[in-house]
Amino acid sequence: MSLDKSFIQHLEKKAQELRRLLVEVTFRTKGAYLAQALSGIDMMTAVHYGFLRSDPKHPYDESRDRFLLSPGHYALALYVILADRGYFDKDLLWTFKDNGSPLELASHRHTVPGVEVSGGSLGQVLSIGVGMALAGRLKRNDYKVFVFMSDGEQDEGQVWEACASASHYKLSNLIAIIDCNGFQVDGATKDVMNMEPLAEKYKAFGFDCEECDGNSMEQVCHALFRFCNENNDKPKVLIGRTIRGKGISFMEGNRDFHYTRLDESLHERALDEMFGGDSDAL
Amino acid sequence: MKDVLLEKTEEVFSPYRKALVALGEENDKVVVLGADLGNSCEIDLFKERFSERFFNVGSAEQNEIGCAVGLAFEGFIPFVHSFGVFITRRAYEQVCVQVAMHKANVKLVGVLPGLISRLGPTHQAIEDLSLMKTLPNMVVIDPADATEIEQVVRKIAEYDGPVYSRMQRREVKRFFSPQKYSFEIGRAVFLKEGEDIALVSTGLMLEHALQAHAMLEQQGIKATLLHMPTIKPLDESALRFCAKECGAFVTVENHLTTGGLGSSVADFLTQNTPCPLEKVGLHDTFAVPGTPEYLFERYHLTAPHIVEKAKKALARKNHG
Repeated sequence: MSLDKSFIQHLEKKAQELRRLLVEVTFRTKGAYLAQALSGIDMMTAVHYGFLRSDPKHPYDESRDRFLLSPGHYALALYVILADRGYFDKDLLWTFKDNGSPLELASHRHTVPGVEVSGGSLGQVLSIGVGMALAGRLKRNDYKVFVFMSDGEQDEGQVWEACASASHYKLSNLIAIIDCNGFQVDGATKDVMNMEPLAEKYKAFGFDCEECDGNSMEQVCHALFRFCNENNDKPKVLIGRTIRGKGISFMEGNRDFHYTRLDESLHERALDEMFGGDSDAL
Repeated sequence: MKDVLLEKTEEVFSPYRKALVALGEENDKVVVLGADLGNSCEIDLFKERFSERFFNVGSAEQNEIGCAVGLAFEGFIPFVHSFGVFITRRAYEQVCVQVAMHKANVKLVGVLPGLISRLGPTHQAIEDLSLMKTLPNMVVIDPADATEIEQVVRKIAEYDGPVYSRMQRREVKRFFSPQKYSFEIGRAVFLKEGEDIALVSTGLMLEHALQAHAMLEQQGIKATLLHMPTIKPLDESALRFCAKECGAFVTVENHLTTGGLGSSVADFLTQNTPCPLEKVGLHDTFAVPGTPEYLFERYHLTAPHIVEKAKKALARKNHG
């Protein structure tokens, strides 16, 4: 695999497609954590379509790379990716968070293929990633473990317990990705609980650290490319600085959109901005 | 009822330490996690023998649980260790969400049950059975002696799902004959038969319950002694039998009288065959630091107190 321009352009196009799907599901199913999904979708797209060794036809294959979503609130971003890749029927997306639907508001392990963990309670999944990475080593299996986290959950002490153990056990097969959109429930992370400088903290814990614009496909891909191809004995972390609601101007950085409902006029405005009003059925 | 008790009680040093190594030899899926208390939890010999399958995460129980769940999701059978207080109290949400909710194949081993620790209430696991019992999917065990410890280790490894087991360490009594006794998850064992009263005991309280049984016998009171190592799932048929035969109960546990064995038995009886029940255990209080002997006497967990409660229950049965 090389990192040529067309590869990055392909991923950029894919992320735009998925953004549109996110907006449609949010509109049609009357609400989602859309702003978070939009901030994280570029990095999740890069991992899933660019770097993750996985096969939707064999979702439990032993040698697959593991993708663990820690903040369950980002579930919809993962669902649109899994649906698009064929892990399950795309029509299931329109049942998002219906009573009885496997596509729950927060993701839970094995409700649909491709969802490996339950992430509703924050700050717990990096530890599970550490366990899976240790297991990979024991099994002599070279799979990688990607753990996607939010910046808000960095407040949880367990995250740092997990960091210490990842570094102690030299888990080079563990790649953490943090969607730093600068917000948590009560407001801006810098005001609620300032965890900066995050990169320095991870470096001090022994991580190989990359920090970049997490909505720039090019920068994200370069970081992930290096992580996946350079051998060292450190766990890795990509700190992606992102914009909450990225791609929709009235949502970008607007704290009114922790949970998002799009009425018809907002829906139209969103599509108009992103796709010049082209609202073909998906 | 075959006699599973040894004629003469023995003392064994560190049965868990050896049992865990034996299990490691039999089953290469077994991995062991510790949180800094390697020697104290008797997992140091496993570490020596199978260093690749041993992980010390430092004193970080929440992360310890998460790592164990990750290993379990990948097909391993993690035995996760700390003192009973830390593995239940400190990591409760992780145990609930990641272990119990997922039915993860994780074995939680809580060393120093009840009032055994000398370090006082921070180290006395007096509500661990209660905390674990209330979680859906969780099996809860309080082994009585060396023989049971040896068998519990193997049985919980065979069982596919989450288990919390208390664990005694260092000098541990051996009451049961390894040849004749057979532990099964969820099965209580009748050790003595008598129609006046049923003593139901769990864990190391067996010693006191046996003494109490002998004392009652001397006083002409015929007691059934039901040994109940599994708190959950509860052996309901054994309890139903006792209710029918004896019609009065004393529960005996090294734990608070709320939430543990006594509460489980009371729950069952009130909904099925109501009859008098008295509970021996710690009554709604934290204990002071001290030797187990001192504490058991101070908090009324010894044989004379069991006898007293038995007489009270018997009186309620006869004059109720």
